[in-house]
Amino acid sequence: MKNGKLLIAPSMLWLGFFFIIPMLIVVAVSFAARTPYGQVVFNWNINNYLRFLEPLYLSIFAQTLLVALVTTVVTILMGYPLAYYIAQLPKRWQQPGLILCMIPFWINFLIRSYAWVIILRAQGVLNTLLLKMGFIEQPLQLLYNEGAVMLGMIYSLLPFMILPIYVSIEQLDRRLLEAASDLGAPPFTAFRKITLPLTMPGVAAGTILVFISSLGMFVVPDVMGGAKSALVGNLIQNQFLSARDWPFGSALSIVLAALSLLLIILYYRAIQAQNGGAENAKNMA
Amino acid sequence: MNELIRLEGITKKFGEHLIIPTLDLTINDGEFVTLLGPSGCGKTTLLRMIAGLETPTTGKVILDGQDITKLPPYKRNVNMVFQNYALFPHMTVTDNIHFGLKMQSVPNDEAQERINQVLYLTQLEQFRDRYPAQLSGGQQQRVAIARALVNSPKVLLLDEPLGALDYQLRKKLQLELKNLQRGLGLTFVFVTHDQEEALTMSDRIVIMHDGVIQQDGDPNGIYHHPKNTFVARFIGESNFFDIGSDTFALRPEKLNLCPEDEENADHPKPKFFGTVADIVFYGTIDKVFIRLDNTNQTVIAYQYFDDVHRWQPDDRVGLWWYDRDGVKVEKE
Repeated sequence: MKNGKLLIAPSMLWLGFFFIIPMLIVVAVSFAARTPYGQVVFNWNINNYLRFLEPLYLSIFAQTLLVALVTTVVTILMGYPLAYYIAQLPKRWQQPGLILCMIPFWINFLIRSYAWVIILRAQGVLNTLLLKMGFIEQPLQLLYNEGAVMLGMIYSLLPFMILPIYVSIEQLDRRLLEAASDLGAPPFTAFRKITLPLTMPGVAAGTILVFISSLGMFVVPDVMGGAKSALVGNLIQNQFLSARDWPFGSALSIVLAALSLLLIILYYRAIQAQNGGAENAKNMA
Repeated sequence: MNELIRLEGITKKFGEHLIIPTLDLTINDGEFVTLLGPSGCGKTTLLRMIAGLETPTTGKVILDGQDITKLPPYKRNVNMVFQNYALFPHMTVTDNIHFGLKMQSVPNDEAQERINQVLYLTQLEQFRDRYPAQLSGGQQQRVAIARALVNSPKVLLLDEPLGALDYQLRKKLQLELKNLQRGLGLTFVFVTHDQEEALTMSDRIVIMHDGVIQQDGDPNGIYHHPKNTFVARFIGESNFFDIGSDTFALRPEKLNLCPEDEENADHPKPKFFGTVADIVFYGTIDKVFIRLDNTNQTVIAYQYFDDVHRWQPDDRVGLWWYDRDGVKVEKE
């Protein structure tokens, strides 16, 4: 069995070359400076991190966190019932149900984002329809605002919430619900006391996936948010591609990564404290 | 004795599959009734109907004079101990037991008192703050019983509650359960496929096969006077002898062997003859397998360690019994 360890060598090498080393490079660059022409000079300073503390960037960070938070909460509220519904379907309908959730992923993400633009813009499908039906007289400003960004984020991240929640509901032992009913719990109480706490690990996994993804997202705000709503993802993208300020972009990336990590740790702590038996639940299965 | 549960004209179909043709059963207050039968005989379905987890296709379930056929489980004053316990994994022992009381909005002081009482009864006091995964099988089983008992149900339903435990522990818990039931004067409806368990614990055994009650009576009666070949075969060991158009069942311990050519014996004359095929050691007894002449049938008799005559394979034997020991049974 000792030689089995060799099997992980390819993935370790891959991670080493394409993940760990680049990450270290980013860390190094974040302590560098840039010349007026955009060249990186390694003079080891923390100016990039100090610059992040300027109100402009702090507010972009706050805005990003808010959008990510709202996206996560909304995907939980939308995803949980849907996942629950799919898990209750007869076995042979569950797989098709999940595939329906995944179908949008077969189409390129950028194309889907532009599809939203076509639907939402002033002369777009939705406005034309509403105008023709006489509900409105002026086209509504549906695009290039925060609402549009959130819509795009929720739309694209919802499946990442549905799948882990579905798995946890599907694994739930139905006999526990029978026991709860037998002990006098009406259906909704049984859901609140048994189903919900025991499927929290699924919600936690979905939350991490959605929250982290929305923190770093830049295509949706770029395409659907226009110039007005810049999020951290766009800020970082701009540093690398337009502003040619790699050191500042690197510093922003590190701050974002550190923040994500911190939030994940805090979140898991909270879930564990509130739901002490979840570990036991897993051990039992 | 007062009638507590009455099942009236119950039938149950799952899709096109008829599980229970038509069944009537009455269970009295304070009785320990066991539904016994092979898997798939409908015993668990019947139990789940009393709990409300299944609805009969036709017929009525009456609890304490009230028709509860349509009542959902959470409105019935009965509690079930599930086969794999179904303990809530995210709750401690105490919280599991508290669950039912919370649902009934029992005031906290009283709830604590009742919880302490069942913890004491089931010897779980030192485990009260553990989670189910931190308990052994036998302890989990006790929690399941405590969780049901604490609600003081009119009936406690037990669905093969000891099936997952090893032999020694099962023996011990059988006694504990029986004592608990006697001590509290509760009504237990117990489902099992283990005939030994049924015989040792029950006041009354209802034997089921293919959704039909085969026999309903006390353990002694069922063991010594099986009504038909199914019951005789299912409970203990039985030999069957066809005499004329009748079939007689004989327990191996009631079947006696003598040398084929024995003369002037002081016991009834042998009714059958055969050849000893095999002898198997079983601890306190040896089982003697005898192949009857003229048929392919093999019957079993016991040979005790202090018997004078030690049988050997290929010995020729006569088989005799006292008339009072042969039980005339209906053929299946």
